Amino acid sequence: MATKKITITVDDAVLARVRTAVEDGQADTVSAYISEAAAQRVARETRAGEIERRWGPFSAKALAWARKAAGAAPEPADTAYLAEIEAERAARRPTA
Amino acid sequence: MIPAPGGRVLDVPALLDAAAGTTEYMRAWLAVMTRQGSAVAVPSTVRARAADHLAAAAELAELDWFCAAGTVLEVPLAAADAAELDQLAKDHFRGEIAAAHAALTARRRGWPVITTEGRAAGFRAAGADVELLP
Repeated sequence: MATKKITITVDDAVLARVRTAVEDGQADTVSAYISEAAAQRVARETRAGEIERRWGPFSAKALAWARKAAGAAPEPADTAYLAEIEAERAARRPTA
Repeated sequence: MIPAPGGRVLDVPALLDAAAGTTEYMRAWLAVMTRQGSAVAVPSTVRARAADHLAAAAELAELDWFCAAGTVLEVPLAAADAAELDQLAKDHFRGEIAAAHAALTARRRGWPVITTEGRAAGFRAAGADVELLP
């Protein structure tokens, strides 16, 4: 596989963990470790894109709930959508 | 450092929603889980029960496609767990093995179960955390 040399900036703490992993034999080099991590991210993005092409596009409201249920970081508008979902859920509850 | 997000376990209604596309919530959720690399645990009995509920071949095809997604992990029912599952099912789920299997998977992995509000009490009583479907 063809490769290209690039310059990147990495968090000090992350780089220390990567170097330890390389010293422990988990990867041949720092470059190999970082390349593998990037390849995994690319694969995830590709797969998520396939899901969105098959079933999306998804509404902002659905994505707000999806982020919460997945434990992902919320976006600013999510709070309002989640309140709407909770109100709809409450309206479906049988009255006592 | 960004903490690695944990996985989630699916109960039957969540998997049915994903397969039938009744709402867009579970399908959007799978995209988010896949993008962040979080595991989606589907107990084998949950998948079997969901398949029993689906009438159309197209829906079964969507179920298969969902379960083949990169982050989905099908959890087999181990013979060694049979007695515990029977007891869990009897105590909290009116004998439903699929729900008990989801609860046991969730408890062991420390991951929430995605289910409906109507089924949540059984999971909580069984010691599992719950994330409610909309």
